[in-house]
Amino acid sequence: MSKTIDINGKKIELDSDGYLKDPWAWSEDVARILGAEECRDPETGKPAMTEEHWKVVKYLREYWEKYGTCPPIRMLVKGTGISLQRIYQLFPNGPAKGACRVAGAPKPTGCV
Amino acid sequence: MKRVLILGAGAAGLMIANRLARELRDKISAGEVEVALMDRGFKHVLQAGFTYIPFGVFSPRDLVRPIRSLVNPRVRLMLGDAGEAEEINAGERAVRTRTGNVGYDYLVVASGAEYDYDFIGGLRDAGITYYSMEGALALRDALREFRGGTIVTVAVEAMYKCPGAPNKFNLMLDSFLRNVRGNRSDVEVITLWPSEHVHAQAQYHKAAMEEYEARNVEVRLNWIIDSVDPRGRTVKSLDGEEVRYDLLIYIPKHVGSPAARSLSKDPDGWLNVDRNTLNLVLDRFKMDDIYVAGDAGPPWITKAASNAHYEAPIIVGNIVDELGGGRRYWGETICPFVSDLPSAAGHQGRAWIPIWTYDSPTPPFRGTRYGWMFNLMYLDIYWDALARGLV
Repeated sequence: MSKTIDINGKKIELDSDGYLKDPWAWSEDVARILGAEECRDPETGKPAMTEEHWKVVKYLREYWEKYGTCPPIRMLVKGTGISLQRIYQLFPNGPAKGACRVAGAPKPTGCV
Repeated sequence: MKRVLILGAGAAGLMIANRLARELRDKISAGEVEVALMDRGFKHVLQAGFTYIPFGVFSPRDLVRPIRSLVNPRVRLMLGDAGEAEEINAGERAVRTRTGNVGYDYLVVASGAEYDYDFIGGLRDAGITYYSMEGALALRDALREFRGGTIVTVAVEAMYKCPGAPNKFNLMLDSFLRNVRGNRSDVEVITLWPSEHVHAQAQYHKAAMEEYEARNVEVRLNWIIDSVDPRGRTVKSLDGEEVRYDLLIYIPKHVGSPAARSLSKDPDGWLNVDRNTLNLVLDRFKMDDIYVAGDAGPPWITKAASNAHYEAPIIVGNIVDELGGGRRYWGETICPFVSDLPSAAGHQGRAWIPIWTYDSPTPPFRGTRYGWMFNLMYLDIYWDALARGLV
């Protein structure tokens, strides 16, 4: 079952797991809507999208647009300077299922 | 005359070359088409068998055959220096080899994955990998001599061929120590994973984790190796956590081949593709005359010969049609699961063959006796049917 999100009257389709069907339909507005589900304030555990969240999302987005894939976790940690533990606090569903979804990458399909 | 050039005589390249030779035989006989296959070596290695070598299930002679013996005689072979592709020039439609340029009308990049052994300094000397023939044989000897202590298994990055292999390896290791060597109680087994799961298929993860727990194999997830200290016999994670080992078994960092790296912009040299046609995609631009097969492809397609097996007819169909989009790859993947080895004490081998696609995950499973039997039959199926592109 797919659903849509609404950005200023424009409908953007998600797949059944909530990933963008067309990764190129991404915008910061899309990230805010997906981020409301994925992003948490590490101190309070409440939904919030801070500068740290944007740093991770923008790093992933730029990487995805350049290479068509999400980076290895080692690269994400070194590239943003944010530890893996901290990334899990910011995105409780983790870098792949949480942060990459907000960054508009499609559903991961590999098996590693 | 149109030339289809295939880079690499691994599982993907062999299957594609043999299928093309069959489907284009009339055009090849008429001199309208040439199918050419390049490889820098002369031997084809069934890499999926490496995992079994340390435990004596297979030996090298089970896993290596001359490329020439597996290829349809209608295929033009370029082996050795003449087959070592150094650079792909997509603009000129030519591949530079050690001995000169070879032009193409259609190119299939099936040049596999290579290892960057020096990515983590010192790891090559401190540990042993079963991801190569030499390493698997060295590990077979090391396990024979291992008297007791801590065995640590670690993957450098969550990007390696055959995602089931480390799980199969860990469980066979336990099974080997427990039932074949009988010294499991003298050995602690710790496995360090660079990702949040031991397998991205939820049911594979579940089946493996249940076995790890039942067998007292310690699993640490999200453990990304940063350095190794051979003197102190410790590995250290990005988070600064140290783990001591007596025997260190690792999976090296994987990267694309030099030819693929000359075309790719990805830092690790993987080639991005259209997910259904398998055409190369560069800067959002789909290259109708270049296909990517097997391990050379993007991180989001599993690196395994089973994937190549399902990709081959798609690429072949598209090249034969000269339409560049007639058939579709749906992400078909087979990823064997092995949980037990047979032993002289009467234990039965157990395995299962999970299958899934992009959109259809594998259903729940556990290892069975029949799965193990099929797993052994696979060796003959591979040599007689799969590598020859017959099924």
